[in-house]
Amino acid sequence: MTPEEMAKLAEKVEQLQKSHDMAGTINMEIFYWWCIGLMVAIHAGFLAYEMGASRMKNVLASGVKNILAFAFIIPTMYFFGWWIYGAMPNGFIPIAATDFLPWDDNMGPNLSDNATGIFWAAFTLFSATTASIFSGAVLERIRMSGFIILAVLLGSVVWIWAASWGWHPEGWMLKQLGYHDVGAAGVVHTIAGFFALGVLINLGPRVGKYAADGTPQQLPPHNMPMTLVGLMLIIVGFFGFLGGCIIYNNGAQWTNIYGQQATLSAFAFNTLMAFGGGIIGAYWKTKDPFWMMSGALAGIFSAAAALDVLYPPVAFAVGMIGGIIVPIAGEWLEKKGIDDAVGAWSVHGVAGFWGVLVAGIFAWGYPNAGDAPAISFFGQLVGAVVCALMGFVPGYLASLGLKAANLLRVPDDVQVTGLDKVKVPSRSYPEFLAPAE
Amino acid sequence: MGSPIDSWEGAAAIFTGANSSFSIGVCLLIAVVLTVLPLIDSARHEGDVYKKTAEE
Repeated sequence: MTPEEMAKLAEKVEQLQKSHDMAGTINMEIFYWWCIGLMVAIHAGFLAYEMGASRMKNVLASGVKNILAFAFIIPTMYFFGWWIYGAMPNGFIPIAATDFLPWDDNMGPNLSDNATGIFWAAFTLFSATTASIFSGAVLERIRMSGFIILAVLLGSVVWIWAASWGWHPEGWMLKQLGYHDVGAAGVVHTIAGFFALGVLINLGPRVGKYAADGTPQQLPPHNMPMTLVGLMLIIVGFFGFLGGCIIYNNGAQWTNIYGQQATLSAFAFNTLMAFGGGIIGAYWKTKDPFWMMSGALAGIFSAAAALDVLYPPVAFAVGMIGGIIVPIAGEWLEKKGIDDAVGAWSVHGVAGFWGVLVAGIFAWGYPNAGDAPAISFFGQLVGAVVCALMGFVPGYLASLGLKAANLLRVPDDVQVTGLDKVKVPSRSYPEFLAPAE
Repeated sequence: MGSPIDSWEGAAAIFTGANSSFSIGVCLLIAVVLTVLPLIDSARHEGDVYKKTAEE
Protein backbone atom coordinates (compact mmCIF):
# COMPACT_ATOMS: atom_id res chain seq x y z
CA MET A 1 0.00 0.00 0.00
CA THR A 2 1.37 3.40 -0.96
CA PRO A 3 1.64 6.22 1.59
CA GLU A 4 -1.15 8.02 -0.27
CA GLU A 5 -3.45 5.01 0.02
CA MET A 6 -2.52 4.69 3.71
CA ALA A 7 -3.46 8.31 4.31
CA LYS A 8 -6.81 7.85 2.57
CA LEU A 9 -7.50 4.71 4.58
CA ALA A 10 -6.64 6.50 7.82
CA GLU A 11 -8.98 9.33 6.87
CA LYS A 12 -11.74 6.81 6.09
CA VAL A 13 -11.22 5.06 9.44
CA GLU A 14 -11.38 8.39 11.23
CA GLN A 15 -14.64 9.25 9.46
CA LEU A 16 -16.09 5.84 10.35
CA GLN A 17 -15.06 6.30 13.97
CA LYS A 18 -16.77 9.71 14.11
CA SER A 19 -19.85 8.29 12.46
CA HIS A 20 -19.93 5.37 14.92
CA ASP A 21 -19.51 7.71 17.90
CA MET A 22 -22.29 10.02 16.73
CA ALA A 23 -24.60 7.04 16.03
CA GLY A 24 -23.95 5.86 19.59
CA THR A 25 -24.60 9.30 21.03
CA ILE A 26 -27.88 9.56 19.16
CA ASN A 27 -28.87 6.02 20.17
CA MET A 28 -28.28 7.05 23.78
CA GLU A 29 -30.49 10.11 23.39
CA ILE A 30 -33.21 8.07 21.71
CA PHE A 31 -33.14 5.39 24.40
CA TYR A 32 -33.60 7.86 27.26
CA TRP A 33 -36.08 9.97 25.26
CA TRP A 34 -38.44 7.00 25.10
CA CYS A 35 -37.79 6.07 28.72
CA ILE A 36 -38.92 9.59 29.62
CA GLY A 37 -42.01 9.23 27.43
CA LEU A 38 -42.88 5.93 29.10
CA MET A 39 -42.38 7.49 32.52
CA VAL A 40 -45.11 9.99 31.73
CA ALA A 41 -47.39 6.94 31.76
CA ILE A 42 -46.59 6.62 35.48
CA HIS A 43 -48.28 9.98 35.95
CA ALA A 44 -51.22 9.12 33.76
CA GLY A 45 -51.55 6.05 35.97
CA PHE A 46 -51.26 7.96 39.24
CA LEU A 47 -53.82 10.45 37.94
CA ALA A 48 -56.35 7.71 37.16
CA TYR A 49 -55.49 5.86 40.36
CA GLU A 50 -55.88 8.89 42.57
CA MET A 51 -59.07 10.16 40.96
CA GLY A 52 -60.59 6.69 41.03
CA ALA A 53 -59.71 6.30 44.70
CA SER A 54 -61.42 9.60 45.58
CA ARG A 55 -65.08 9.94 46.35
CA MET A 56 -67.15 11.55 43.61
CA LYS A 57 -67.31 14.88 45.43
CA ASN A 58 -63.50 15.21 45.41
CA VAL A 59 -62.49 13.59 42.15
CA LEU A 60 -61.45 16.71 40.24
CA ALA A 61 -59.68 18.30 43.19
CA SER A 62 -57.62 15.10 43.46
CA GLY A 63 -56.84 15.34 39.76
CA VAL A 64 -55.81 18.99 39.97
CA LYS A 65 -53.53 18.21 42.91
CA ASN A 66 -51.87 15.33 41.11
CA ILE A 67 -51.31 17.30 37.90
CA LEU A 68 -49.90 20.29 39.77
CA ALA A 69 -47.39 18.12 41.62
CA PHE A 70 -45.95 17.03 38.27
CA ALA A 71 -45.99 20.58 36.91
CA PHE A 72 -44.25 22.24 39.87
CA ILE A 73 -41.56 19.58 40.05
CA ILE A 74 -40.36 20.41 36.53
CA PRO A 75 -39.22 24.04 37.03
CA THR A 76 -37.99 23.44 40.58
CA MET A 77 -35.84 20.52 39.43
CA TYR A 78 -34.39 22.93 36.88
CA PHE A 79 -33.88 25.78 39.38
CA PHE A 80 -32.23 23.80 42.18
CA GLY A 81 -33.01 20.05 42.24
CA TRP A 82 -30.50 19.07 39.59
CA TRP A 83 -27.78 21.07 41.32
CA ILE A 84 -28.49 19.28 44.61
CA TYR A 85 -27.86 15.94 42.87
CA GLY A 86 -24.51 17.09 41.54
CA ALA A 87 -23.38 18.93 44.66
CA MET A 88 -24.30 16.75 47.62
CA PRO A 89 -22.72 13.28 47.24
CA ASN A 90 -20.59 13.86 50.36
CA GLY A 91 -23.55 14.52 52.68
CA PHE A 92 -24.50 18.05 53.66
CA ILE A 93 -21.55 20.11 52.43
CA PRO A 94 -21.77 20.88 48.71
CA ILE A 95 -18.97 20.20 46.28
CA ALA A 96 -18.37 22.21 43.12
CA ALA A 97 -21.05 21.30 40.59
CA THR A 98 -21.14 24.22 38.19
CA ASP A 99 -22.34 21.97 35.33
CA PHE A 100 -25.56 21.45 37.28
CA LEU A 101 -26.39 25.13 37.82
CA PRO A 102 -29.33 26.49 35.83
CA TRP A 103 -27.24 29.22 34.22
CA ASP A 104 -24.57 26.85 32.93
CA ASP A 105 -24.09 26.50 29.16
CA ASN A 106 -25.14 22.83 29.42
CA MET A 107 -28.55 23.66 30.90
CA GLY A 108 -30.15 24.52 27.58
CA PRO A 109 -29.83 23.72 23.89
CA ASN A 110 -26.14 23.02 23.28
CA LEU A 111 -24.75 21.27 20.21
CA SER A 112 -21.74 19.96 22.12
CA ASP A 113 -23.80 18.29 24.86
CA ASN A 114 -26.30 15.55 24.01
CA ALA A 115 -26.48 14.19 27.56
CA THR A 116 -27.36 16.85 30.15
CA GLY A 117 -30.88 17.61 28.95
CA ILE A 118 -31.89 14.00 28.57
CA PHE A 119 -30.51 13.03 32.01
CA TRP A 120 -32.04 16.09 33.67
CA ALA A 121 -35.38 15.12 32.14
CA ALA A 122 -35.11 11.50 33.29
CA PHE A 123 -34.28 12.61 36.84
CA THR A 124 -37.12 15.11 36.74
CA LEU A 125 -39.52 12.28 35.92
CA PHE A 126 -38.10 10.29 38.85
CA SER A 127 -38.72 13.35 41.01
CA ALA A 128 -42.27 13.69 39.80
CA THR A 129 -42.83 10.03 40.64
CA THR A 130 -41.92 10.67 44.28
CA ALA A 131 -44.37 13.57 44.39
CA SER A 132 -47.15 11.45 42.86
CA ILE A 133 -46.54 8.68 45.40
CA PHE A 134 -47.03 11.24 48.16
CA SER A 135 -50.02 12.83 46.44
CA GLY A 136 -52.28 9.79 46.73
CA ALA A 137 -51.71 9.33 50.45
CA VAL A 138 -53.02 12.76 51.38
CA LEU A 139 -55.99 13.06 49.04
CA GLU A 140 -59.34 14.60 49.95
CA ARG A 141 -58.14 16.78 52.84
CA ILE A 142 -54.84 18.58 52.10
CA ARG A 143 -54.71 22.22 51.09
CA MET A 144 -53.36 22.77 47.60
CA SER A 145 -50.75 25.38 48.55
CA GLY A 146 -49.40 23.28 51.41
CA PHE A 147 -49.41 20.23 49.20
CA ILE A 148 -47.40 21.94 46.46
CA ILE A 149 -44.80 23.11 48.96
CA LEU A 150 -44.48 19.57 50.33
CA ALA A 151 -44.41 17.98 46.86
CA VAL A 152 -41.60 20.32 45.79
CA LEU A 153 -39.73 19.64 49.04
CA LEU A 154 -39.97 15.90 48.43
CA GLY A 155 -39.45 15.86 44.66
CA SER A 156 -36.91 18.61 44.14
CA VAL A 157 -34.99 18.56 47.43
CA VAL A 158 -35.35 15.49 49.65
CA TRP A 159 -35.27 12.53 47.29
CA ILE A 160 -32.72 14.07 44.94
CA TRP A 161 -30.49 14.87 47.92
CA ALA A 162 -30.68 11.24 49.03
CA ALA A 163 -30.10 10.14 45.44
CA SER A 164 -26.82 12.06 45.48
CA TRP A 165 -25.87 9.91 48.52
CA GLY A 166 -27.07 6.52 47.39
CA TRP A 167 -27.70 6.71 43.66
CA HIS A 168 -24.62 8.50 42.42
CA PRO A 169 -21.23 7.03 41.49
CA GLU A 170 -19.54 9.27 44.09
CA GLY A 171 -22.24 9.13 46.79
CA TRP A 172 -21.08 8.50 50.35
CA MET A 173 -23.51 5.61 50.80
CA LEU A 174 -21.84 3.79 47.92
CA LYS A 175 -18.31 4.72 48.93
CA GLN A 176 -18.68 3.89 52.63
CA LEU A 177 -21.44 1.27 52.77
CA GLY A 178 -21.27 -0.36 49.33
CA TYR A 179 -24.96 0.56 49.04
CA HIS A 180 -26.71 -1.09 46.09
CA ASP A 181 -30.06 0.14 44.85
CA VAL A 182 -30.10 -0.02 41.05
CA GLY A 183 -33.87 0.34 40.64
CA ALA A 184 -34.25 3.02 43.35
CA ALA A 185 -36.19 0.92 45.88
CA GLY A 186 -34.76 3.01 48.71
CA VAL A 187 -33.93 6.36 47.20
CA VAL A 188 -37.31 6.76 45.51
CA HIS A 189 -39.87 4.46 47.14
CA THR A 190 -38.73 4.26 50.76
CA ILE A 191 -38.13 7.99 50.88
CA ALA A 192 -41.46 8.91 49.29
CA GLY A 193 -43.41 6.44 51.43
CA PHE A 194 -41.85 7.61 54.70
CA PHE A 195 -42.18 11.26 53.70
CA ALA A 196 -45.90 10.61 53.22
CA LEU A 197 -46.07 8.97 56.65
CA GLY A 198 -44.46 12.01 58.29
CA VAL A 199 -47.03 14.29 56.66
CA LEU A 200 -50.00 12.01 57.44
CA ILE A 201 -49.27 12.19 61.17
CA ASN A 202 -49.74 15.96 61.12
CA LEU A 203 -52.46 16.06 58.49
CA GLY A 204 -54.90 13.75 60.25
CA PRO A 205 -57.54 11.49 58.71
CA ARG A 206 -60.34 12.44 56.34
CA VAL A 207 -63.59 13.45 58.01
CA GLY A 208 -65.57 10.25 58.56
CA LYS A 209 -62.61 7.88 58.30
CA TYR A 210 -62.80 6.92 61.97
CA ALA A 211 -65.83 6.41 64.19
CA ALA A 212 -65.99 8.14 67.56
CA ASP A 213 -64.46 5.06 69.21
CA GLY A 214 -61.58 5.10 66.73
CA THR A 215 -62.79 2.20 64.57
CA PRO A 216 -61.69 2.64 60.93
CA GLN A 217 -64.54 3.17 58.47
CA GLN A 218 -64.59 2.33 54.76
CA LEU A 219 -64.55 5.36 52.44
CA PRO A 220 -64.96 3.44 49.18
CA PRO A 221 -63.35 4.74 45.96
CA HIS A 222 -65.90 6.20 43.57
CA ASN A 223 -64.39 4.23 40.67
CA MET A 224 -62.40 1.13 41.56
CA PRO A 225 -62.02 0.01 37.91
CA MET A 226 -60.32 3.32 37.08
CA THR A 227 -58.02 2.81 40.05
CA LEU A 228 -57.04 -0.65 38.78
CA VAL A 229 -56.36 0.59 35.26
CA GLY A 230 -54.33 3.43 36.76
CA LEU A 231 -52.21 0.98 38.70
CA MET A 232 -51.56 -1.06 35.56
CA LEU A 233 -50.58 2.12 33.73
CA ILE A 234 -48.12 2.94 36.51
CA ILE A 235 -46.52 -0.45 35.89
CA VAL A 236 -46.26 0.27 32.16
CA GLY A 237 -44.49 3.47 33.07
CA PHE A 238 -42.12 1.67 35.39
CA PHE A 239 -40.55 -0.05 32.41
CA GLY A 240 -39.44 3.42 31.35
CA PHE A 241 -38.41 4.25 34.90
CA LEU A 242 -36.26 1.12 35.18
CA GLY A 243 -34.82 1.70 31.70
CA GLY A 244 -33.77 5.11 32.94
CA CYS A 245 -31.89 3.41 35.78
CA ILE A 246 -29.28 1.82 33.49
CA ILE A 247 -26.44 3.62 31.75
CA TYR A 248 -25.99 3.38 28.00
CA ASN A 249 -22.29 3.19 27.11
CA ASN A 250 -21.46 3.69 23.47
CA GLY A 251 -19.69 0.60 22.13
CA ALA A 252 -19.57 -1.16 25.50
CA GLN A 253 -21.77 -3.13 27.90
CA TRP A 254 -24.51 -1.32 29.84
CA THR A 255 -23.61 -0.36 33.41
CA ASN A 256 -25.81 0.35 36.38
CA ILE A 257 -25.78 3.71 38.14
CA TYR A 258 -22.77 2.55 40.19
CA GLY A 259 -20.64 1.62 37.15
CA GLN A 260 -21.06 -2.16 37.53
CA GLN A 261 -21.76 -4.07 34.32
CA ALA A 262 -25.42 -4.89 33.83
CA THR A 263 -27.94 -5.81 31.13
CA LEU A 264 -31.46 -4.75 30.30
CA SER A 265 -32.11 -8.45 29.90
CA ALA A 266 -31.53 -8.91 33.65
CA PHE A 267 -33.99 -6.08 34.33
CA ALA A 268 -36.56 -7.77 32.07
CA PHE A 269 -36.25 -11.16 33.78
CA ASN A 270 -36.52 -9.83 37.29
CA THR A 271 -39.07 -7.04 36.80
CA LEU A 272 -41.58 -9.45 35.31
CA MET A 273 -40.94 -12.26 37.77
CA ALA A 274 -41.28 -9.89 40.74
CA PHE A 275 -44.39 -8.33 39.20
CA GLY A 276 -46.05 -11.75 38.94
CA GLY A 277 -44.96 -12.72 42.44
CA GLY A 278 -46.35 -9.50 43.90
CA ILE A 279 -49.77 -10.00 42.36
CA ILE A 280 -50.01 -13.64 43.39
CA GLY A 281 -48.82 -12.86 46.93
CA ALA A 282 -51.40 -10.11 47.38
CA TYR A 283 -54.15 -12.29 45.91
CA TRP A 284 -53.20 -15.11 48.28
CA LYS A 285 -53.40 -12.75 51.24
CA THR A 286 -56.43 -10.60 50.36
CA LYS A 287 -58.33 -11.75 47.23
CA ASP A 288 -58.81 -7.99 46.68
CA PRO A 289 -58.02 -6.52 43.23
CA PHE A 290 -56.91 -3.21 44.76
CA TRP A 291 -54.23 -4.97 46.78
CA MET A 292 -53.39 -7.28 43.87
CA MET A 293 -52.41 -4.34 41.69
CA SER A 294 -50.69 -2.63 44.61
CA GLY A 295 -48.96 -5.96 45.16
CA ALA A 296 -47.70 -5.84 41.58
CA LEU A 297 -45.97 -2.56 42.37
CA ALA A 298 -44.74 -3.88 45.70
CA GLY A 299 -43.34 -6.95 43.94
CA ILE A 300 -41.32 -4.80 41.55
CA PHE A 301 -40.02 -2.60 44.39
CA SER A 302 -39.10 -5.72 46.37
CA ALA A 303 -36.68 -6.77 43.63
CA ALA A 304 -35.73 -3.28 42.43
CA ALA A 305 -32.53 -2.73 44.43
CA ALA A 306 -30.88 -5.90 43.06
CA LEU A 307 -32.64 -6.09 39.73
CA ASP A 308 -29.31 -6.48 37.96
CA VAL A 309 -28.17 -9.67 39.70
CA LEU A 310 -31.09 -11.59 41.25
CA TYR A 311 -31.85 -15.09 40.03
CA PRO A 312 -35.37 -14.68 38.57
CA PRO A 313 -37.07 -17.26 40.86
CA VAL A 314 -35.64 -15.29 43.80
CA ALA A 315 -37.17 -12.12 42.32
CA PHE A 316 -40.48 -13.98 42.12
CA ALA A 317 -40.27 -15.09 45.76
CA VAL A 318 -39.23 -11.72 47.19
CA GLY A 319 -41.92 -10.08 45.06
CA MET A 320 -44.48 -12.46 46.51
CA ILE A 321 -43.34 -11.61 50.04
CA GLY A 322 -43.71 -7.94 49.12
CA GLY A 323 -47.23 -8.59 47.88
CA ILE A 324 -48.11 -10.30 51.17
CA ILE A 325 -46.57 -7.82 53.62
CA VAL A 326 -47.94 -4.68 51.98
CA PRO A 327 -51.64 -5.22 52.85
CA ILE A 328 -50.62 -6.30 56.36
CA ALA A 329 -48.65 -3.08 56.80
CA GLY A 330 -51.51 -1.03 55.35
CA GLU A 331 -54.04 -2.55 57.73
CA TRP A 332 -51.71 -2.06 60.69
CA LEU A 333 -51.28 1.64 59.86
CA GLU A 334 -55.03 2.12 59.49
CA LYS A 335 -55.60 0.62 62.94
CA LYS A 336 -53.06 3.07 64.36
CA GLY A 337 -55.34 5.93 63.31
CA ILE A 338 -53.33 7.04 60.27
CA ASP A 339 -55.41 7.46 57.14
CA ASP A 340 -53.19 6.62 54.17
CA ALA A 341 -55.87 6.81 51.46
CA VAL A 342 -54.03 4.69 48.86
CA GLY A 343 -51.57 2.69 50.95
CA ALA A 344 -48.59 4.77 49.80
CA TRP A 345 -46.57 4.12 52.95
CA SER A 346 -47.06 0.38 52.80
CA VAL A 347 -46.66 -0.03 49.03
CA HIS A 348 -43.71 2.32 48.57
CA GLY A 349 -42.23 2.82 52.03
CA VAL A 350 -42.41 -0.74 53.34
CA ALA A 351 -41.89 -2.61 50.05
CA GLY A 352 -39.04 -0.23 49.14
CA PHE A 353 -37.41 -0.85 52.55
CA TRP A 354 -37.82 -4.60 52.05
CA GLY A 355 -36.34 -4.29 48.55
CA VAL A 356 -33.18 -2.63 49.89
CA LEU A 357 -32.80 -5.45 52.43
CA VAL A 358 -33.34 -8.02 49.68
CA ALA A 359 -30.19 -6.72 48.00
CA GLY A 360 -28.33 -7.23 51.31
CA ILE A 361 -29.57 -10.83 51.56
CA PHE A 362 -29.29 -12.00 47.96
CA ALA A 363 -26.66 -9.70 46.47
CA TRP A 364 -24.32 -9.97 49.45
CA GLY A 365 -20.65 -10.09 48.44
CA TYR A 366 -20.94 -8.73 44.90
CA PRO A 367 -17.96 -6.43 44.31
CA ASN A 368 -18.52 -2.78 43.61
CA ALA A 369 -16.67 -0.81 40.96
CA GLY A 370 -13.62 1.16 42.07
CA ASP A 371 -12.74 1.39 45.74
CA ALA A 372 -16.29 1.06 47.17
CA PRO A 373 -16.79 -1.89 49.55
CA ALA A 374 -18.69 -4.97 48.39
CA ILE A 375 -22.45 -5.18 48.87
CA SER A 376 -23.34 -6.29 52.41
CA PHE A 377 -26.45 -6.78 54.53
CA PHE A 378 -25.17 -4.23 57.04
CA GLY A 379 -24.63 -1.63 54.31
CA GLN A 380 -28.11 -2.23 52.96
CA LEU A 381 -29.73 -2.08 56.40
CA VAL A 382 -28.04 1.21 57.23
CA GLY A 383 -28.91 2.51 53.77
CA ALA A 384 -32.58 1.57 54.18
CA VAL A 385 -32.74 3.31 57.58
CA VAL A 386 -31.07 6.41 56.13
CA CYS A 387 -33.64 6.49 53.31
CA ALA A 388 -36.54 6.08 55.75
CA LEU A 389 -35.26 8.89 57.97
CA MET A 390 -34.41 11.10 55.00
CA GLY A 391 -38.06 10.82 54.00
CA PHE A 392 -39.81 10.86 57.35
CA VAL A 393 -37.99 13.69 59.15
CA PRO A 394 -38.40 16.42 56.48
CA GLY A 395 -41.99 15.32 55.82
CA TYR A 396 -42.90 15.47 59.49
CA LEU A 397 -41.15 18.77 60.25
CA ALA A 398 -42.31 20.62 57.13
CA SER A 399 -45.92 19.52 57.59
CA LEU A 400 -45.76 20.52 61.24
CA GLY A 401 -44.73 24.01 60.15
CA LEU A 402 -47.48 24.18 57.54
CA LYS A 403 -50.01 23.01 60.10
CA ALA A 404 -48.96 25.83 62.42
CA ALA A 405 -49.41 28.28 59.52
CA ASN A 406 -52.86 26.83 58.74
CA LEU A 407 -51.71 25.78 55.28
CA LEU A 408 -52.04 22.04 55.70
CA ARG A 409 -55.56 20.78 56.24
CA VAL A 410 -58.81 21.55 54.46
CA PRO A 411 -61.45 22.63 57.01
CA ASP A 412 -63.84 19.86 58.04
CA ASP A 413 -66.94 21.65 56.71
CA VAL A 414 -65.34 21.90 53.27
CA GLN A 415 -64.47 18.21 53.38
CA VAL A 416 -68.11 17.40 54.15
CA THR A 417 -69.35 19.59 51.30
CA GLY A 418 -66.77 18.23 48.87
CA LEU A 419 -63.67 19.90 47.47
CA ASP A 420 -64.89 20.01 43.87
CA LYS A 421 -67.98 22.04 44.68
CA VAL A 422 -66.00 24.50 46.78
CA LYS A 423 -62.97 25.18 44.66
CA VAL A 424 -63.06 23.56 41.20
CA PRO A 425 -64.90 25.50 38.49
CA SER A 426 -65.84 22.44 36.39
CA ARG A 427 -67.88 19.33 37.26
CA SER A 428 -66.68 15.75 37.00
CA TYR A 429 -69.79 14.01 35.67
CA PRO A 430 -72.95 15.30 33.96
CA GLU A 431 -75.04 13.55 36.58
CA PHE A 432 -73.02 15.04 39.39
CA LEU A 433 -75.37 15.70 42.28
CA ALA A 434 -72.96 16.68 45.05
CA PRO A 435 -73.51 13.54 47.10
CA ALA A 436 -73.28 14.00 50.85
CA GLU A 437 -70.79 11.17 51.44
CA MET B 1 -31.52 38.59 23.69
CA GLY B 2 -31.94 36.62 20.47
CA SER B 3 -29.37 34.53 18.66
CA PRO B 4 -26.06 34.09 20.49
CA ILE B 5 -24.31 32.80 17.34
CA ASP B 6 -23.30 34.22 13.96
CA SER B 7 -22.63 30.83 12.36
CA TRP B 8 -23.47 27.16 13.02
CA GLU B 9 -19.83 26.24 12.46
CA GLY B 10 -18.38 25.17 15.83
CA ALA B 11 -21.45 26.41 17.70
CA ALA B 12 -22.07 24.98 21.18
CA ALA B 13 -24.57 26.73 23.49
CA ILE B 14 -27.26 28.02 21.14
CA PHE B 15 -30.13 28.88 23.46
CA THR B 16 -31.65 32.35 23.53
CA GLY B 17 -29.29 34.80 25.14
CA ALA B 18 -26.60 32.17 25.81
CA ASN B 19 -23.86 34.77 25.32
CA SER B 20 -25.24 37.13 27.98
CA SER B 21 -25.16 36.34 31.68
CA PHE B 22 -27.46 39.34 32.26
CA SER B 23 -30.05 37.92 29.88
CA ILE B 24 -29.82 34.46 31.45
CA GLY B 25 -30.14 35.93 34.94
CA VAL B 26 -33.21 38.00 34.06
CA CYS B 27 -34.96 35.08 32.33
CA LEU B 28 -34.21 32.75 35.22
CA LEU B 29 -35.48 35.26 37.75
CA ILE B 30 -38.70 35.79 35.79
CA ALA B 31 -39.24 32.02 35.61
CA VAL B 32 -38.75 31.71 39.40
CA VAL B 33 -41.27 34.51 40.01
CA LEU B 34 -43.73 32.88 37.61
CA THR B 35 -43.43 29.67 39.61
CA VAL B 36 -43.99 31.30 42.98
CA LEU B 37 -46.87 33.65 42.05
CA PRO B 38 -49.42 30.91 41.24
CA LEU B 39 -48.53 29.20 44.51
CA ILE B 40 -49.32 32.38 46.44
CA ASP B 41 -52.51 32.76 44.42
CA SER B 42 -53.48 29.18 45.27
CA ALA B 43 -53.16 29.88 49.00
CA ARG B 44 -55.23 33.08 48.62
CA HIS B 45 -57.90 31.34 46.53
CA GLU B 46 -58.25 28.53 49.04
CA GLY B 47 -58.48 30.94 51.94
CA ASP B 48 -61.26 32.86 50.16
CA VAL B 49 -63.37 29.85 49.16
CA TYR B 50 -63.05 28.19 52.56
CA LYS B 51 -64.14 31.38 54.26
CA LYS B 52 -67.09 31.70 51.89
CA THR B 53 -68.10 28.09 52.56
CA ALA B 54 -67.95 28.63 56.32
CA GLU B 55 -70.18 31.71 55.99
CA GLU B 56 -72.84 29.91 53.92
